[in-house]
Amino acid sequence: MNNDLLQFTESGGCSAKIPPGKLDEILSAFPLPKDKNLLVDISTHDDAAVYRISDDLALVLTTDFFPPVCSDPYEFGQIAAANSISDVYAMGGKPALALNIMMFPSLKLPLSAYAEIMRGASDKAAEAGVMIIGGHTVEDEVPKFGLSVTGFVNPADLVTNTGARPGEVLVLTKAVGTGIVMAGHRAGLASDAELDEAKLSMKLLNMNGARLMSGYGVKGATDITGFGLAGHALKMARASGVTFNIRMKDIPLFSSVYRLADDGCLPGACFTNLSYCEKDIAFHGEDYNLKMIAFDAQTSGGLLLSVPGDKAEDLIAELHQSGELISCIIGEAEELKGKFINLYC
Amino acid sequence: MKKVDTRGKKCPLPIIETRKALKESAPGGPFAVITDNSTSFSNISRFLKDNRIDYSCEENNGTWTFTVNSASGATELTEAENYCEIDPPANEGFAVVISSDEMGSGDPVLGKKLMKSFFIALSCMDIPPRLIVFYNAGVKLAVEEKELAEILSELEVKGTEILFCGTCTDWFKLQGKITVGSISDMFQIVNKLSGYRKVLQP
Repeated sequence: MNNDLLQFTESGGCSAKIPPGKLDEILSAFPLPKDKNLLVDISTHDDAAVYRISDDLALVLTTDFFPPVCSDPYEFGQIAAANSISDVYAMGGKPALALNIMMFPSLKLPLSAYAEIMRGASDKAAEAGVMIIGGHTVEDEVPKFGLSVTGFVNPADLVTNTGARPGEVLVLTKAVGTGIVMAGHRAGLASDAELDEAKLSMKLLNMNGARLMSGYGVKGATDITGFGLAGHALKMARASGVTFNIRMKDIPLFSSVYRLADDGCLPGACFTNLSYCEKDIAFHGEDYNLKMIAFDAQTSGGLLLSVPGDKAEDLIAELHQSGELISCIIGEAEELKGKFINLYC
Repeated sequence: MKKVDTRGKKCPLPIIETRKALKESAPGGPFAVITDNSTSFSNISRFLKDNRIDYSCEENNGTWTFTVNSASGATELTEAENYCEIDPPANEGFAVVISSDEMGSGDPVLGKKLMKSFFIALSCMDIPPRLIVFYNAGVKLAVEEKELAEILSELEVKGTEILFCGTCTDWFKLQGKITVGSISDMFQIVNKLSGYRKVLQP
C-alpha cells in the first residue's frame, strides 16, 4: 500500500462541490428556522451560521470537508484544517473548538496515513488556538477530511456578506489559482516548487485578517473557496446590495497560474462556477485566461474584505507587517448599478 | 486531419490538449477533438465559443467529435500585458439584435429590402459586431435569404458570434436548416446581450 492520497481522486479540494445551481434548488425547498437569536442563516449564503447566546456573545458554526488536495497526508490535514477554520475568521470571529470529520479506506490506505492527517490538522488547529475535542470516522472508498468548527464573536463585531457599502475598497489577502496549480501539477505542467508555493498559501490561517478587521471598521467580508474569487465576491455583492468592480490585472496570482491557464489547464469547476455566476456579472476586456482564473475554485483561499476607503491603505500596511505580504486592493464597491459584479479582464 | 483523442482522460486534460492543438495547428488547418465525457464536451464547447473559434460537433453513441477550424477567432489568446485599462476601451465591441425579418414597420416588402441593405452595410464595417442574436421572425433570414446567409458566414469567420433562438427556429420549423452560427436559448441570449454596452437593433 502506498501513502499517496491523490491515487484516490478525480477532483480534489473545493472542486468536489456539487454545482451551486443544483444545491440552490435543493436548499430552496427547506423552510428557514425562525429565531430572534439566529443572527446569520443560510439566506445570505454566508460563510458560517451565527447564533446569539447573550448580549455580547454569539456562537459561530461552520463545517467543511473534502477529498485530498495533495499527496502527503500530513499536509492534507493541515490544509483541510486551515480551510475549515477560515470560515469563522471570515465572520470576524475567533475559532475555539472543533470536531474531526473523516472518511477513510482502511483496507487501501495504511492507518499511518490516517494518523498523519489527524496530526496535520491538530498542529494547524493548535496554531489557531483551536481544540479538536472529538470527531467521527466512516469507511469510504475515497478519503475525505475536514472539521466542524465552533467559534465565538461579539455580535457588535460581527462581519457578514451583507456588510459591504458603496465607496469601500476591496482587499484580498492571498493569491488566487490553487485549483489551476493543483490540476497543472497532476497533469505534469507545473513543477513541485510551483505546487509548494500554492500549498504554503493554502496552509496559511486567515487569523491576521480576522484579528485586524474590526479595528478598521470592516463590516463586510468573506473567504475565497470553492466558488472562486468571482463566485464569493458575487455572494457578498448580492447580499450587500452593491456592485463590486474587480480588476483582474490587480489580483495576485501564484507564479505559474497565468501560464497554466493559457495552456488550457482549466479545471471543470471553472466552467461550473462560470455557468452559475455569469448572469449576474458584466464582463469587460478580452483576456480569456484572466476571466477563467476568476472562477477557479480555491482551497483555503484568502479573505476578501470590504474596507472603508480612508482606512484601506493602513489596514494593508498592518497586514503586511503581520506577515500577510500578498494583501492588496483589487477593486471597489459602488452603488448597485446593473450587475452585481463588473469583472475587468 | 490531425486527431486529438481525449477519451478516458481526466479534466482538465481535454482542454489542455485542445489548447495545445490550437497553438500548434497551421492557420486554416482544421483538426478533430474527440471526447467521451459529457462534461468535457460541454466545457470544450464553451472554451471554443468564448474564444470565438469556429467549430462543429457530432455525437455518436456517447462520443463527441469536434471539428475545429483553427483559422477563426483568437488563436493567440490575449497576452497579459494587453488587457484593458479600468475605463472601458473605445473599441469594446457591440452586439446586434435581429427581432424580425423586416427592418422598420409600415411596408413589409420595403422592410425586407431594408434588412438586406442593413446586413450589406454591416458586412462592410471596419469593426464587425461581436455578437448577432436572431429571434422571432429574424431567424427566417438565415434560411430564406441566401445572400444574407453568406454574409453571416463571412462575419462568423471574422469572429462574430451568431446565435439563433432555439424556440424560434423550432416555431418556424427551421430545425437543421440553419447552416451558420449556433442555436441558443433565452438564458444564454439574455446573459450575453446584457454584457454589451452597445446593442444595435435595426
